[in-house]
Amino acid sequence: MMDHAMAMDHPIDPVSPSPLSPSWGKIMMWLFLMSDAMSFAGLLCAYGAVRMSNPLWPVPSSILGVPLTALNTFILICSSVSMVKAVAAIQKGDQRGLRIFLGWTMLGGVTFLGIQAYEWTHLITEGLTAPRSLFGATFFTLTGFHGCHVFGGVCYLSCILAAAFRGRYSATRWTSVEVVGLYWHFVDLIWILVFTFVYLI
Amino acid sequence: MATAEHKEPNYMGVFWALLVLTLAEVGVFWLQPPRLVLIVSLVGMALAKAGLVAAYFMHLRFEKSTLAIIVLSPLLLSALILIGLTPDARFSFPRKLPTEWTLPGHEKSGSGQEGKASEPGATGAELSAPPTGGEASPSDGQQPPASAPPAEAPASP
Repeated sequence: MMDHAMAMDHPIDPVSPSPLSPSWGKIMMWLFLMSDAMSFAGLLCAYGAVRMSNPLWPVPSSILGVPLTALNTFILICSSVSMVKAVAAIQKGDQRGLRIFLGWTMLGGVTFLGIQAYEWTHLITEGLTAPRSLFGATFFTLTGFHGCHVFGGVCYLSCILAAAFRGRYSATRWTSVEVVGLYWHFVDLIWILVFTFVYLI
Repeated sequence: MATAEHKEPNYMGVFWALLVLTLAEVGVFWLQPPRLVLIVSLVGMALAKAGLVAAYFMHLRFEKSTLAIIVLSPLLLSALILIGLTPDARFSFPRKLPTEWTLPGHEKSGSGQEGKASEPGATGAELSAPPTGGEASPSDGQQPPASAPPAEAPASP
């Protein structure tokens, strides 16, 4: 079965596709990201609709900590940069660079989750909970959904890192790294929007 | 091939642009300009950042344009969601709808003593003094627990 999968690997997923014809893995990841973008669009639009229909909606920054979250945004952007560095490294055949930059990317994701967990703990002990207020419900739904994506991304990255340690990628075989990069940048992109719409506006 | 795509984009330049835009966002937030200016500038900067991430980090600029067009379709679709949800955002105020609902052309036959009489007053009262906004939540359907306790006191913490 494994041999079969390995043998099938090449025709299904061309090892080094030309830049003009993206590989199957990439196209499928893009399709998933599109549907995921629609999930986030639904949540964000629902947030906007609920907020606009409530004139007593609190000023979010009076409850949430903007500086800490700005730092979190910065961390996520940095981890995105290290992700592109990882892809660039393996495209040049640099195995060590791939592992190091993947490690930094994962560290960024874990740090983000840690800060978010701290923020949530703080907010909940302060009395902001999902059942108690509509703001809390929408806030925890949006940031929680995104946090689940970050957590999933860290798990995904750990699988890719484990495969990198087994020497699975090379200068001619790096599609999986690029695909995990797509996912990670998407999570970053969504956070940029959530940060603006929920925290700043 | 890797070499064809090798014209590596200036990732650090994109990083600095993202950093500057983030700082500018926080700066606009601290300045607190008029509401409309705030919203327009913040949304503009957020979309610019998202565009930078998609174009350079996700290599969308260097893909076939067909892929870029397909991938950007959620933007259009989310605009449709926004349009579809606008009535909820606008008209969820008369939370107690008149019990007898009459179409505008049918006032005579309906002779809605309850609905017609109470509608303008009720709407005005609701608009001027909405003490609890909790009832507006059934419209979104995302967070059912939120609507259970009607008292919405988010500013309490």
